This record gives sequence, structure tokens and C-alpha cells, in this order.
Amino acid sequence: MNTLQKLVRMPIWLTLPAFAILLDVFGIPIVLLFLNSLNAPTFSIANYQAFFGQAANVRVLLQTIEVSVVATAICFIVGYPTAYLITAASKSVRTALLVFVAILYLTSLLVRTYAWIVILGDGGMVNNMLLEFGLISNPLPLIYNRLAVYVGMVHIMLPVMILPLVSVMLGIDKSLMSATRSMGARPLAAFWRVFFPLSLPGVRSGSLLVFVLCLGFSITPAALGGLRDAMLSTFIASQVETSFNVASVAASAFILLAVAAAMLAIFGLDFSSTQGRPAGPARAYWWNWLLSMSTLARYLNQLATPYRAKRWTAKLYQAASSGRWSQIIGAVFVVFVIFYLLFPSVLVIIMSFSAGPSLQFPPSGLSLQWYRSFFGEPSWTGAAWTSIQIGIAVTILSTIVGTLAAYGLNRTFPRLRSSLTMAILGRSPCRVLSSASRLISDCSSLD
Amino acid sequence: MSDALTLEEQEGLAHRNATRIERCNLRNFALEKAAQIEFRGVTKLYGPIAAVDNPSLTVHRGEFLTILGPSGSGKTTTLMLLAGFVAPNTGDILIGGKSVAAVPSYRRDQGIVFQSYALFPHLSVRRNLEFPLEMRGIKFTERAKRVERILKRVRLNDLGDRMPSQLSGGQQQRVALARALIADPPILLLDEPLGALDRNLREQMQVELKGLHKEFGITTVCVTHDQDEALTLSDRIIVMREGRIEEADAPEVLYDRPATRFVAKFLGEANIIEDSGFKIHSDTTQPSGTLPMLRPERICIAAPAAPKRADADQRQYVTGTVADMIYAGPLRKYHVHVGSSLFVVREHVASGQQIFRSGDEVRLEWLRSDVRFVAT
Ligand SMILES: Nc1ncnc2c1ncn2[C@@H]1O[C@H](COP(=O)(O)OP(=O)(O)O)[C@@H](O)[C@H]1O
Ligand SMILES: [Mg+2]
Repeated sequence: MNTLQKLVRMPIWLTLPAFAILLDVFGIPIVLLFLNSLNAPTFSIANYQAFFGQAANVRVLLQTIEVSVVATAICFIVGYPTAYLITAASKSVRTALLVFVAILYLTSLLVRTYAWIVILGDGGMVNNMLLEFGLISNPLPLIYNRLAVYVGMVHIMLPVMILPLVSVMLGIDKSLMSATRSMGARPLAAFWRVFFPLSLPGVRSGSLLVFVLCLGFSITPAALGGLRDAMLSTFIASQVETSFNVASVAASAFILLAVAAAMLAIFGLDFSSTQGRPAGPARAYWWNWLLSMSTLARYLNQLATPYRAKRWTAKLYQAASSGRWSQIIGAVFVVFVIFYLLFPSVLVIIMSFSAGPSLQFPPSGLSLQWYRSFFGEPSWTGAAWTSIQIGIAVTILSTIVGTLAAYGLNRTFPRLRSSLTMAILGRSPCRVLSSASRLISDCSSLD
Repeated sequence: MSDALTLEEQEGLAHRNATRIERCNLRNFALEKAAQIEFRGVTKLYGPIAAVDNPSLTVHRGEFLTILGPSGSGKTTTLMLLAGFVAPNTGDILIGGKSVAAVPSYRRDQGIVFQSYALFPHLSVRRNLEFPLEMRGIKFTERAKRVERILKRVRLNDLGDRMPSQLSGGQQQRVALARALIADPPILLLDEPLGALDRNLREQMQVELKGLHKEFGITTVCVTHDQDEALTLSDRIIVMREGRIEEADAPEVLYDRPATRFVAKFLGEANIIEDSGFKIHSDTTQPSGTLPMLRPERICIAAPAAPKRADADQRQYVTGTVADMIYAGPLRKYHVHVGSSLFVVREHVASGQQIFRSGDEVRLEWLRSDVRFVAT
């Protein structure tokens, strides 16, 4: 009891198991890899120079950043209104929508990527349907281009954007919005002047998460993109398979990590809510300062003043439209987004009952043949059983370690907390590195 | 409301006038005259419960009205209906004689202080105060002037550049009040405005609130469950119960002559004598369906053998046993068993007083004219 109390009083130690595991799985291999990329005993930056010396490498790096930025922007444009509408919905609808989004978050990335091939491919669902209706005579090039990459990446990343946004938006005090309206702010003004600035921490966290995760994407762009749409991590994976120059591959991996680290350092992560935090105005609200104090905003605001005055007098105590249309548009939008998110997974489930010899949509007939072959094949069931066992063990371990870490993080100083959170989150680009290092060690053992 | 100008007429008048400032003043003046609130058959249902059940609520111009009631009696809902955040299921709300059923809250020109203050956490005090002015299209220079004036008025001169999170509870409360008042709205709505403050600060703010109300002459509706606050601040109190109005009157009348048992119990303490085995004498006859009621401070406590006063013929005397005594600073509170009922007696602490302990025999006395009758 005494030791436990002491532990509680020193919450930082509670994060130790989590960091130990992270260090073991990611930290040590990464350090080794980093030393490798510097040609360890002799130490030189030759590998990095070589990377930037090749135009193709630089092009792929810039392309990776570009794709990540665009995917993040699309995620924001689609995700923000969705999160807003989810937040505004009644409690039961909100729960249902969040469950949809979260389920998706838990579905295999591979499966969802594969579903998009079935939908967009030359012989895929969309082209088949269009051909059937005679709208086109040749299949449209829907896949193996940049657009398909974005469709697939946004589909996978959207929950990562929506969930932090919803969590921050739900934390915004409802009476603030009532107060805003009571002071004469029309819905749009209330949104821009109060709701949006207060939701910015969510925007920042969501965008950063999506961006950093996008940087490390390899499967989806490789599967849906054309030859010219390679991401750096795809590049790294193929390099690992074809060349044995571990050091140069490691260098490119660290360049990617540096981009992610730079983004995290510049924008930081902040999951604590804006309210009730004794934040210094200069530091915590710099983004808002940018928004509201910039000269442009001020100037526009000044220009709007006479118009506002005129409207205020004219509209005082006048009835307003009921806002039915905006509700309908909002509902349609959410349905559309949820459809976009869920349809590929539903498709995979339907395809699994297909009677045809290959996976296709729509299925030529319904049968349980795939399930029969799954359960009839000992190697499959054995693998599944192993997966379940490992899954359970990992769940238990990560729940214990994660809860300790979360509790510890919560109890430490906010400043420290955000850097620790960053360190934990930083592992997503590290995943690229660790898979690279794993591949490398596999290769070396083959030697 | 026939004497008030219609809104269209006011605006027509306003536009013919030369300067903007004058126009603003004129409009405010006209609206202030028109500010009178009336509920007509208003109900608001939440599922099967009627949170607000047709209260015949009226608020007069310039009045400080308090809505008092226990938790869940529909006070907040009433205020939200008035502010336009909640739409009634049936009935109509009139402000200045005009139906506001379809008028959204952002066109109602009301100042509202929320229980949580609802200060914008991302804006400085100054920008918080500027907000309602900005929404009304008031120019930058005029805004700055008004902000300085109101900051001085609520004694926050130097705190304009602070963020709300850097203020104490009382300071936040004053910013919230200033923000509600800065645009000179004709109606001010307060939802448990002092609920979050500690006792000393609350009394200080009561004085401040009263001063501001007098100075601005603004029609004020205040919701509270704190009877002291209601008694101190209001011109008139409305006691709500289960979405209806139980009773409405001036504080003194309501406290001194409550019509119902509920009001008597809710507004202060009351001895309601049901069946004590002795008759309560009164100057007036007891109407049927009522019970006699005595306020604890109207009862005097003395030793059984103490000499009677000169006006003994106007008093009633009973003897009882002290159950317990509670000392509360300036007051001493006794619970006394008389027959089968328990009397609460409140006595101001003074020097030379005899103090009774539990088990002591005492004599209680009161003026027959102090006995009231309340409906059960
Ligand atoms: N948004 C709501 N949804 C459902 N019931 C509500 C809601 N707001 C209030 N109520 C119910 O209406 C009744 C009156 O509530 P309220 O006006 O908040 O009372 P008060 O402010 O006097 O405590 C309560 O029974 C409460 O449960
Ligand atoms: Mg309430």
C-alpha cells in the first residue's frame, strides 16, 4: 500500500513500462539503424549526401510530403464538417455515428485498401456498372493514379481526423455558443468567432496525426497509385528488398523521420482541452492570435462594421428562417461520408460470401465456400488461433501498460506531458524505420 | 402596448436622424419603453414532463424580477425560452407586445449572464467586452470608449488585457455582467448569477448588481434558488413549482404573508402548526383548508416563570421543552417540543440573554397578529 501510494505520488514512473517497451521495440533498433546510416565506426554523412545527390530521391521525398499534405487537407475539409455534425447530433445519433467511425478505425488497413481495388479497378464495380448502363464504352482509368491514392488514403485516415476533432468539440461549453448568439452573433459569425477558434486544438492534433501517419504510408499508395505515385516508404521497402546497402536505406528512412519530427516540433500536440487551463495568452493562443489579430482580419472587420450596424437595426426582433435546409444538407453530408467510410468494408464482407472462383463484385452467387475452405484448412485455422492468442496477450499487456502510462502522463506537468505524448506518437514514423530494420535483419540473416 | 411605437416606426424614425450615435440612443430609448415581457399559454415539454407549464408570467418595464424555485422547477427553462434558446411547444412569448416566437436569440437584443459566466476563453477581457458591440456594428473608436467606461464601472480598469482564465471568480462574474450590459440592451437575463461565488463575495456582488440595475434601469429577470438573493435583490419574486407559478409578489409581502405552505417553507423557515393539541389564537378567523403559520423570528423564548409583558392580552403563551440549540453567530436557533409539534425559534444574540439547553422547560410567546394562515 505504501509503495503504491508512493508510486501514485511519483506518477512519472508509471510511464516507465510503456517507455521500456517502446525503447526495446523501436528505440534500440532505431539507434542501431541510425548509427548504421552514419557508417557507424567511421561516422560520415556520405549516405545523406548521396540521398540528396540523386534527383529521383529528392523527387520522391517531395512527392511524399506533397501527397501527405494534400491527403491531410482533404481529411480536414471532409472531416471537420463531419465532426461538427456528429457533435451537434442528438446523443443517440452521435453514439451511433461514433461507433461507425471507430469500427472503421479498427478494420484492417489491408482489407480496406483491397476493397478500393475492387471498387475502382478496370474490371471493378464502378466501371462494370457504368459499362452495364452503357454510359461508357471503355473502362475509365479510375485506379493507379494520384486520385485513387487520395481516395484510399483519405478513407483510411478520416477516422484519425474525426475522432480528436469530435473530442475537442464535445468539450466546448454549450453555454459559450448560447452566449455568443445572445450577443447578436448570427450562426456563421458565432462559428467563426467562437466555435472554430476553440476547436483549433483538435484541428491541430488531428491534422498532425494524419500528416505524420500519411508520411509513413506504403501499402495504400503502392496498391492504388501509379508508378509515379511512389511514397518514400514504398521506395524504402523496395530498396530493402532489392539492394543490400543497409546504410543508404537507413539514411532515407531517417530523412522521413526528420520530416515527421520537424512537424511535431513546430506544431506540437495538445490533447488537453482549451478550457479551464491557465494558459498564458501569448503561448497557448498564438494560432488564435494569428486568426483574429492579423491585419487582414482587422481590416475586413472594419469594412463589415457599417454593414453590421445596418443589418442589426433592420433585423432586430425580426423572424428568421427555420434553418431546415441546412439541417437536410448536413444530414445528407454525414450519410455520404459514413457511406464512403463504411461501404468498402461492407463490400469485403459481401464478397466473402461469393460463389465465384475469384473475389469480385457484385458476386456471381452466394456461398460459404470461402468460410468452408478457411475452417477446413488447418494452416488457416491454426494461424487464426495464433493471431487470437497473440491479440489477447497484447491487449492485456497494452491495457495495463497503457493505462499506467496514461495515468502517469496525466499527472505530470502539462509541458512535460505534451513532449512525452509526442515521444509516444513519434513512433508512427518510426514504424517505417522498424519495419525497415526488421527487413534488414531478415536479409542479413539470409546472407 | 398601444402607446409604444411599433418597431417599424421606430426604425423609420431612427433612419431620419442624423448621426449614428443619436440613432442608437433613440432606438434604445424606444425599445426600453417597449420592454415588457408576457408569457401566453407557454408550455415546454421534455418527453412526458412539462418543464414549463403555462406560467402566467409578466415582467414590467425596469423591474428586477426574480424567479425562485427548487431545482427542477423549470426556472432555467423559463429563462431559456425568454432568451430564445428553447422553443415553446405551445403558446407565445411577447416582448414589447410583439410575438417573438420566430425571432432567433441573436436578434432579441438581450444581455445574458450565464451561471458558468460563458466568457470566451480565447479572447481577452477587452475583446470579450467588445464582442456584443462588434456584432451590433459599432465602430472601433466608440467600442474602445465604451469598454473603458464599463471596465471602470465594474472596477476592472487594469484587467482589460487579461485572459478570463487569469481572473478570480468574482472578477469573471463582473466581466460577465459588464459584457451583458455594455450594449445597453433593454432586457437583462441572469441565470443563478451568484451561485458560484463564496458567501462574502456574493453579498458584495448583490450590492453591485442592485446598483447596476438602478443605474441602467434595465428590465431584469434573475433565476435563483437562493432565497436570500431573491429577497435582497428583487422588486418582485415569482416562486415556481413544477413548471407553474405558485405565487408572485413583492419580497416583503411574499415573506410576510405567503399564501401557500410551499411558499412559506421555501422562502425562509416556517412553523406550520398542523395538530398540536392546542388552539392557535389569531385576530382573524382561520379560512378553511389552511393551517396557521408562524415565522421563527416572531416567536420569543423565555423561562416559564419570567414576567409577562404589558401587552400580554395580545399574545399567546405556550410551554414546551427544548430539543436542541444551534448557535449561528448573530442568531441562536432553538427547536422546542410543544405538545406533539416541533417549533423552530430564532433569537438574535444579545447580552444578558438567558441561554437554554436541551431538556429545559421554556415558555414560547407570540403576538396573535403575527399568526398567518397558509393553504395546504
Ligand atoms: N434539455 C433537457 N432535456 C430533458 N429534460 C430537461 C432538459 N432541460 C430541463 N429538463 C427537465 O425539465 C425540468 C425543469 O428543468 P430546469 O428548467 O433546468 O429546472 P431548474 O432550472 O429550475 O432547476 C427538469 O425536470 C429537468 O429534468
Ligand atoms: Mg437551473
